[in-house]
Amino acid sequence: MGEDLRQVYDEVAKCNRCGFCQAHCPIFDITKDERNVARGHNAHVRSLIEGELEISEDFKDPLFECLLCKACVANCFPAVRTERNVVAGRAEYVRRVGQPRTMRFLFHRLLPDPVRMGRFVRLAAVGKNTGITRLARALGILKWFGKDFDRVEGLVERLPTRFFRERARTLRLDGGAGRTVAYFVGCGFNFVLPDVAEATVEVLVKGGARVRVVDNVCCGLPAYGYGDLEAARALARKNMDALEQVDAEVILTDCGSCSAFLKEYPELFEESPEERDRASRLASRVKGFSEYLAEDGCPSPRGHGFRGKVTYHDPCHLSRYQGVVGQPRQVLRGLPGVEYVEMPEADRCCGAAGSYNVLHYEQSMVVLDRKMENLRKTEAGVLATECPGCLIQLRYGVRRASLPVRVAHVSELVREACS
Amino acid sequence: MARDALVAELERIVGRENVRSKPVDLAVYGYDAGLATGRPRAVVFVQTTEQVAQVVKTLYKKGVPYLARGAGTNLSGGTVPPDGGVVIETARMNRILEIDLENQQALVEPGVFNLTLQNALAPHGYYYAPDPASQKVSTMGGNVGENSGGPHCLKYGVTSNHVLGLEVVLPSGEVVWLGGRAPDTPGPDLVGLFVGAEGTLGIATKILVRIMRAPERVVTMLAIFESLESAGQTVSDIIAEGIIPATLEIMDNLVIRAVEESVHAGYPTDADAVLIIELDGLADGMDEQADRIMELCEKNGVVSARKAKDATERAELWAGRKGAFGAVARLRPSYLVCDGTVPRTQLPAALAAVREVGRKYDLMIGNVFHAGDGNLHPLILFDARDPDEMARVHKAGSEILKICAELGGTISGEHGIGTEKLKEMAFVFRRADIEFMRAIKAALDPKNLCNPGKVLPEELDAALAA
Repeated sequence: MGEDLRQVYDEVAKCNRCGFCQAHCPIFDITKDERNVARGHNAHVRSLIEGELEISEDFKDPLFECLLCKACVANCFPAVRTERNVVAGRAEYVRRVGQPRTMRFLFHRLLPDPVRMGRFVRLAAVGKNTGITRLARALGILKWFGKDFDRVEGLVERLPTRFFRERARTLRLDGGAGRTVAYFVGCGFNFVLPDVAEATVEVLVKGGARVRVVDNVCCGLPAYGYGDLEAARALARKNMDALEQVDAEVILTDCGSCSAFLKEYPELFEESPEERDRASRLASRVKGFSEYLAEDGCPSPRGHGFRGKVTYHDPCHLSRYQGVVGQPRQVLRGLPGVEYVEMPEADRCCGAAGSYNVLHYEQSMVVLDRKMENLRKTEAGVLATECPGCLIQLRYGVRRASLPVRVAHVSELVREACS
Repeated sequence: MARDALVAELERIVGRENVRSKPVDLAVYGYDAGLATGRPRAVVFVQTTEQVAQVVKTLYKKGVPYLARGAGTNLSGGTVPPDGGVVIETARMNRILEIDLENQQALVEPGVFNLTLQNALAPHGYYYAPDPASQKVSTMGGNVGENSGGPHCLKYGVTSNHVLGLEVVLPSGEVVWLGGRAPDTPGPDLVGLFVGAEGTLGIATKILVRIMRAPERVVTMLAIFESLESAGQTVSDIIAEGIIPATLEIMDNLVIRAVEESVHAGYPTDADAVLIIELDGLADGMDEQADRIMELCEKNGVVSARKAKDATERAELWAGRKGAFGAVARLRPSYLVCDGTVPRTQLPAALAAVREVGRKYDLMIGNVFHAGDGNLHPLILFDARDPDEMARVHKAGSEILKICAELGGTISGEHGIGTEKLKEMAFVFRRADIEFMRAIKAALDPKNLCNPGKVLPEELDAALAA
């Protein structure tokens, strides 16, 4: 995607306004407001391209209230890529109206620099885990969460004291004669849920892989999602450099959002053929956790893990962005003692959507409540998924609804079954 | 900019958060699924009958035009607001108020999606017969306004056959009940007057509908033909046999290819016509009827035919048909649906004439239609950004409707007149007919504020001369 909104004109014009998207949008379902549904988004972008409307602050809510979950796209007969059109609209907004300083700081200063990012998260963790939020705030730590800091606090149960990258130094990474796998470390797992990353690496090693932990930065999706294409490209370039340093057949990440966005890197460089080709070469080797396991096989399970009903929540970025639907279910079904049950509307967005749950808390909670209702119906003891955003949101949902359900990454369940 | 006094007054009625008046918000309420566009002055989200009545009273007093809108899926411009008018949005009036199985009735608010009602009835073994292809998003209020049909209307009739009563906010702001729970309401059929008036006579705020026991058994068949003519002949033969299927639907090659690309319904892309036949009713005797239909298909040279084995397969066969309109958008960005109807026996002649129109104006035209009741839906494909093509589209659309009228049919099966078929009204009505309709409209809406400019051509003489 480039710097000119007109590049999406043909895509926007494909919307014939049938309005069927109204039946599928989780946000429209709550608001019943045309500006929240795909048809409305496409009409807005079109009006900007055709000069009927000028972009202004008034566009902020309509453009940024979308989850980018692609439920509309999946159910659209001409398959209009509304999620792309919305991001193009957001990019126009960022270029012409601007973005909050805190966002700019996050995308341009923190995310490209893991050391600085780590320092910030560390201070936040001190505040969080000891309850001295006030101090953290006084130090100006989590400025980028703004007034919504309390909500972030509520969402994340506990921040770790050691990040995955530190822990990785003492982990066994060489599994023997298997394939060389480059492990792309997602920020969510590095900073917030390192146990998951550890489980992933352990499973890979048990399966015989030689794991190389990539010296990557944020994949760039948060910046892209908020329309900061410049920051997204800068992050993508850093990652392409880092990934080219590793000689591996497979680039693996257990974060559904990272794998989706790494696969989309070529689209990010549409205007620069050379970089696009570089991105394509890398993208073709990217695999998500279950996607990899389903092909390469699980290490032999010993049956020590959870026994009982397990269900699965499809992260939007795995199911609709990558078509990874069957693999996680296949992996879960293969675990001894697991009775897999399908959850109604398993692929409906949980409302996390990056930091949507922070910036649009009320709407996000309505979306989450429906997910919890569906979860209750399954009577499962474990809810598995493969995205840190979903994990945090779903764990919060389970606590809120007082459900006796453990929320875990697929890799954690596999590790337990194989240990 | 000074605050719009009208907006302030509307805010007092429904609350500030339920009124929109910024250009960015109005831009998405100026269209429906048709081609026309307009620019409203404000959008009001209503939630109760009382609010609708107060809003209408206010607008009546101030002489501001308005219209009711549900999901905005109208195909003839019927939910496009008049410039400077107010959109009364009923999407949040979406409660199912009552399901009364003993009396076979359901009471709903206008913003309920047709399919939402169906889903609520299904567990009880009941259903609501009209099933427009857009049922997952078209609202009950809109169905009443357009007198919507759907594939199953061949056997069970259209919306007007299933609405028992209506609570209506009249253009004066008065709230009245038309029809009711008793099977035979004294006096003229005012429900019948209101259904299909396209929201020009008032706003329905509660809708009482007849619900029916789900059929004991449903058999769905799909037959593929080498020509549209033989598919059409099969339809005539089935009905001549005395069999009334619940539905008889045909799609032509262009639509088949589009549908196949988007929903992968398993249609062969080289077929010239796909015929969907659905029988429903008592289980007894149904297999014999299905066998007889198969024989008639074979007599007309069917290429292949199959019967859905279960509900999943049935849904698969239907998925293509329900998505047909949207699917053609894969071929070109925009489409116009001509909703003409002809006597069943004239279908072959009508189809041939439609093909000729396509050639004459150099336009792609696909056909998907309710063959059982002669309701054609030629889809003219184009790119709305090309003004020359647009002009040809409008001419072709009008010509197709003229053909339907000349073959003894009419200009709208179920999508309404809206703004897009105003001048074509003269194809099927005489001056006296239209004047009579106008007198009714004027009696109920003397200031002409309630969805003005729809259904009745303002330039009557021009329309009649055309």
